[in-house]
Amino acid sequence: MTAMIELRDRLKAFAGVYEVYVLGIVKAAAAFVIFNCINGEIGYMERLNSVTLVLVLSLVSALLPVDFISLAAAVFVLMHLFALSPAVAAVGACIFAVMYLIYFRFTPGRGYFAVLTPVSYIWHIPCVMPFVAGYMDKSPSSGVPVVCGTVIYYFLKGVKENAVSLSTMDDKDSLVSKMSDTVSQLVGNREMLTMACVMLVTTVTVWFIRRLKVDYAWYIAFAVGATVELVGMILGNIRFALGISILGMFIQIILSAVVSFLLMFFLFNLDYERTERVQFEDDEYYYFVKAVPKVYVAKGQKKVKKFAVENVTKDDVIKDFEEE
Amino acid sequence: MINEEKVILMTKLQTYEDKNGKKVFSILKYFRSDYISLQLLKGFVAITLCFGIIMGLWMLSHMEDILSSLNTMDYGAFVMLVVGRYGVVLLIYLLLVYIYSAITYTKARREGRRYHKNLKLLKKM
Repeated sequence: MTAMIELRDRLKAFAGVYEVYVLGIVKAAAAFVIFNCINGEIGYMERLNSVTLVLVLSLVSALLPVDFISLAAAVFVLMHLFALSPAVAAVGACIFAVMYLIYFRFTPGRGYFAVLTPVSYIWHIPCVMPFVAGYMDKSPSSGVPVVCGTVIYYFLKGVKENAVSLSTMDDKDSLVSKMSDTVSQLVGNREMLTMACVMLVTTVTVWFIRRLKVDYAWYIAFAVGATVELVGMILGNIRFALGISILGMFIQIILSAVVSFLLMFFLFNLDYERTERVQFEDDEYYYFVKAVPKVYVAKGQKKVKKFAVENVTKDDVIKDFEEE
Repeated sequence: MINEEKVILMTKLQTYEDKNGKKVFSILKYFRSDYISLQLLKGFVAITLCFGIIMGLWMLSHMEDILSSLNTMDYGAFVMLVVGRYGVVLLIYLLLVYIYSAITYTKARREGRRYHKNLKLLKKM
């Protein structure tokens, strides 16, 4: 454990010194993963399915604010959908527009949750996202981008499943009927509604509990969040016969635990056993102060061992040299 | 001789200006009531557009039902239903926008005061 804490401190110090480069590399890596996922899932426009283009976009993302990744990802998705069918792209544009107008115009810099959520679905670990959002964000509204990400994923999933019919409709099938089909597969999607509700409730629960002024709040937040998520999904599974695997759910919860404990380790690692409670007063107030120290390892002090040589003068050295 | 405290304070002020300052100063250009009114106006436009888009999508997904009942539909009741729902959504959204803008303005004013206090301190140094 001590070695891990030392490693964490070194990593933090390294990230602090080289913040610009570290942030750039993280953004470029995230952008690369996101664009590759989009190409892998809905790569209908062949011109975009190029590693060179993805690499260039990732490098550009490293230099620009985080919101650029969200914007570029949205444009990427719409271009792929346009290649499949302009009608589907129009519906996609409507969905993105609604999300932007209702929520994202208020919260610049939060779009990455909405982009990472579909990626987590593609990797079959969506249950991790509410914990990441609940632990890392300053406000409970981070549940909204997670819900938006869920809607985007199920929209794209529906398009992917019906891609053949959407792209090969006869000429007599108008643009409107294609749009109608695209919207219908989204509106009546009970799995999407269940997952969106579970994601929102879990994120808000984790955020609320981890901010409570009680010992081990982050651990309690995980336990309660995991329970809420499991119960929500099982109830949804029973009510709507969604066919979500119970074993898969448990594996996801275990993965969520790993991610949560990593986040706790890096962001909020406190030593509750050394908690100090002090009480004092001034003219106006009584102060009840509770101080919980962070876990850290004192840096090992370098000891320089001196091999003292007896007072040797310059003459002695010359004398020795002459004798030799 | 470099005044370390002055350098630290100046660095803090500049960091603040670069990070949150721009947003806070752009909010504090307005009086509270003007800022909230502007946000409500923007909210009104945004939610009207959203409602239009969502209605359009809903109508698309129910196109067959709508086309089959074109002759039998009670248009008055339909318009009333749509307007009623729009009113409820508008009211809820504008209430949320009002709360959000009021909180944002209060926070910005608090931060602005702190910033000016530090500026005065810097001037005295």
